[in-house]
Amino acid sequence: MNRAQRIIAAGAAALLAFGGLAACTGGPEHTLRVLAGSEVEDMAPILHDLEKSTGVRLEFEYMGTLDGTEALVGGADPAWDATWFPSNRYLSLFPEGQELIDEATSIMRSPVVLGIKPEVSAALGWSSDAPPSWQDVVSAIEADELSYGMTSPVASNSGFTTLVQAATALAGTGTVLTEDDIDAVTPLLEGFASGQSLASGSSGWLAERFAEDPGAADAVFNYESVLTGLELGLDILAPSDGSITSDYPLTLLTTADAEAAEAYDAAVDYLMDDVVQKRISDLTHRRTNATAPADAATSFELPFPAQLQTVQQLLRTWVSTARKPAQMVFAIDTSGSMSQGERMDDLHEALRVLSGEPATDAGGFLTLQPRERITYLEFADVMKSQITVEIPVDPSGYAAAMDEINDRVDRYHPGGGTAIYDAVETALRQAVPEAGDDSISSVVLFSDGANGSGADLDDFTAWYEDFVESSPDAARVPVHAIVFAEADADEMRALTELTGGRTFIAAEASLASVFREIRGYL
Amino acid sequence: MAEQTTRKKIRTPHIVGIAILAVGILAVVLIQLLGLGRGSAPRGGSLVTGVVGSEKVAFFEDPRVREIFADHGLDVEVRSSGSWRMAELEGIGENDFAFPASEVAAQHLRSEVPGSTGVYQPFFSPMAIATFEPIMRILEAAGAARQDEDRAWTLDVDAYLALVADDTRWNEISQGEYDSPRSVMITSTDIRSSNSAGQYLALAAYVANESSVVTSRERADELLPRLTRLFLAQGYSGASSAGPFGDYLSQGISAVPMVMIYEGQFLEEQLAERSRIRPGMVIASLAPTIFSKHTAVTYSDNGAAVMELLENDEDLARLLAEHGFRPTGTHAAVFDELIAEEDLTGYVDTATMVGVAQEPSYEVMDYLLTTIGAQYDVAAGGSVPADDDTAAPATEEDE
Repeated sequence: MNRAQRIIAAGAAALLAFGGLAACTGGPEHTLRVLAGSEVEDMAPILHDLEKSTGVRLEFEYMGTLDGTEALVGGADPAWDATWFPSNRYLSLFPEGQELIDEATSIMRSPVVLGIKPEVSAALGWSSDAPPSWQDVVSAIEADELSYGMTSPVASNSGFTTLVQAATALAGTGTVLTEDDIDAVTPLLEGFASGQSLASGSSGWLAERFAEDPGAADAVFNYESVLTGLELGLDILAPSDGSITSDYPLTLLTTADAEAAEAYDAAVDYLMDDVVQKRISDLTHRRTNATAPADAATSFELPFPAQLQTVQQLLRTWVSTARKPAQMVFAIDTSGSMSQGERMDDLHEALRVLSGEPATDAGGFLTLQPRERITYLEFADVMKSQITVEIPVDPSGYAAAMDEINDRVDRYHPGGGTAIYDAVETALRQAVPEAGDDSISSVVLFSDGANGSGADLDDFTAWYEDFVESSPDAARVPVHAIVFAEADADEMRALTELTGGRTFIAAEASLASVFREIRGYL
Repeated sequence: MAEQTTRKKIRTPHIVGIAILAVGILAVVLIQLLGLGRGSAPRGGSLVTGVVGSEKVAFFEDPRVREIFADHGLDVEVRSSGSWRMAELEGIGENDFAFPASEVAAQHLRSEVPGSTGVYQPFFSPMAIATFEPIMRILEAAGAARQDEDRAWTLDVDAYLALVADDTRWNEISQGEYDSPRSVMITSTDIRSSNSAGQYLALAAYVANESSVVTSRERADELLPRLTRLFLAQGYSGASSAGPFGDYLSQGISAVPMVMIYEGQFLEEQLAERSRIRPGMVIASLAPTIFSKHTAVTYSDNGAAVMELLENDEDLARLLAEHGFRPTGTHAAVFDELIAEEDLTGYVDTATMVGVAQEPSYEVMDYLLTTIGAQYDVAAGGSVPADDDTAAPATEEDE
């Protein structure tokens, strides 16, 4: 519906409503359905006051920037009126994405920069007065003097921005990165990637993890605002040859109706008010119109690629060639309760996120990648099946590996009890010996019910503490848990906190979307 | 004179509130959209509808402007459209006027859309650069900028294009004053959707063609690698409705050292109540310059009446100046008076403007725009002229 049609429709609706005007006495409440990045969750107190002041409520569904882009350009009319991601840059590279943007207003800004432990930056001779170049960062990594955490470029905007910044600066062309530059810059990206010791699918969780376990990395790439808010005493350095600022555009979609467009206008007017802009800076540490730009130029804004294929080629290079390969052990509960309803169908669909056809457009970066290694443990009260596959680089080997995986998982059949902690112990015993500096290792637990047999959480905790003592590498292998159906969310949280993983609840979202989300953490 | 780069459609006034008011406004909009309102007289007189470039929307929506039109029995409602595509808008000729920001776009309207009753050029906007004092000093040392006795800066476009053609980096010419590894390059709006970027292209084409208008596709083809680079090498543009001038104001010298603007964008910001122009931010004129000639094509007597008021009404002329436009009619002097009153520098006296580049014909301009625009969507594996060594701009220096 274009604007004119929208207005006519609203006019007709308003005229109809006019007859029943007597009934309409209270302040109208408008709801704007917003697809957003989890980055804007910190705006909650301000959005609460926005609703009080304007009657406009922003109702959020959260997705990663790239996953959200896929959802928007995927074909069907989006179920949202607006979006609020850290950036529209990736979306705008799709012709369908450009079509969807009616109006975009930048509400606040934050560059992606390096937060580094002061002792590490001192040893490297870096400071905010003498920030490193991206080449300096790569050299420090290659000299084993720097390790870092970043989010997945295919899942999260901060990791995506980090990668684009690194590639653009390392290409050194002085202008925008193009597809032709990527081959030349790949060895440098491999050097850069070798320093990653902490992975995450979201910038918020990356910051939390680093705060809880500062030994996991020397530094993190994250939003300046997030790093400032951490109050960990990190040196916050913007590499001298450039960073890219996310500008958080609140974006009205062309599919929104007139009422939503009014709600959007009201929300933008409120958020851009001088007093509110000041409050946003104070609360979130982001830059706004209330914060003056630096007069002196010390760090420079890099251009963002203008061509979709450049970005996609960069992401492909990252996941298939440059980044440390993921070593994953999935422990999958196929106990008797999985026979209820559509649970097995949901599981099969979700597993295809990893082993399905690699798509060619916005998706396709989440499927298993060459050089990765995955183990599937199918369990109930006992271990039911097991398969480990190393994903080959050559296309025919890759296809054969997918066939092997799918042959196995398609034969999963529900039955038996549930011995969660025995399964997790088995998974860790398999994962830890393979863990090392040249890969990112993790365990993923999927379960639809409470633990019914074998070790309980206390037994597991005692075992785990001994295990970490005898195999220190275990501390670097998080256990992530997917809570499905009747699984005990509190116990799963205890398990993931113990092991440095994250709990994902599949109750509201589809199981496949949770698998897509968790892929960013692997 | 805010230019909006991502807004696609005109926004209606706020109609959140009492339903009766909403119905009233919507009824007006409905009548306008359905073309029923011509000749009828709702509040404020005869409804007059126009389609204008987005840079003029704020002027036409200014309550003071609407009031003056209303005093003359005209209720002027505008909606925005990209100047270059106006002729292709369905039903454009059913409006009272169409008002692109380009003379050539207006000529195209005249030839494509029947029923026009007149052509008016009530005001114009020179293009200019929003930049920073240190940036201009660096370019002065590199021979590409000069400062006159009033401390007003001018960018030498030919010398600037030579710096771009040589792929000069800021840190090569800045003597440590601006150590950016980025290429010397003006930031502009998106060439695919915005007239101000189109004016930049027309200017660059004119200067690259040794100060003459490009008149053939063959010549355009020869110049295209250089011209394409000016836009594609900027990368993604149009992050938000604020556009690159908004980024200049909010992110400063580190992000946007030079941005191509309508002169009026800078003026309007300088005159704003809480101006975001900070010390060190300066406007630089261009030598040669190019005018965005706001050219209206009228389709009715009411459309003509609006244009005649814009040409002859003193109060409207003053408001035009305050919105950053230079009136051309009876009261053309108000712009220079305003600049003198406000004691501003960097705005060349209208009378002394010399060296003005001309837009190429619609056909040549459209060819340039289309060819460059297509480079954003080159298929995977395709190569971009700007990055093709055999078409390296430096080799074309002697043309």
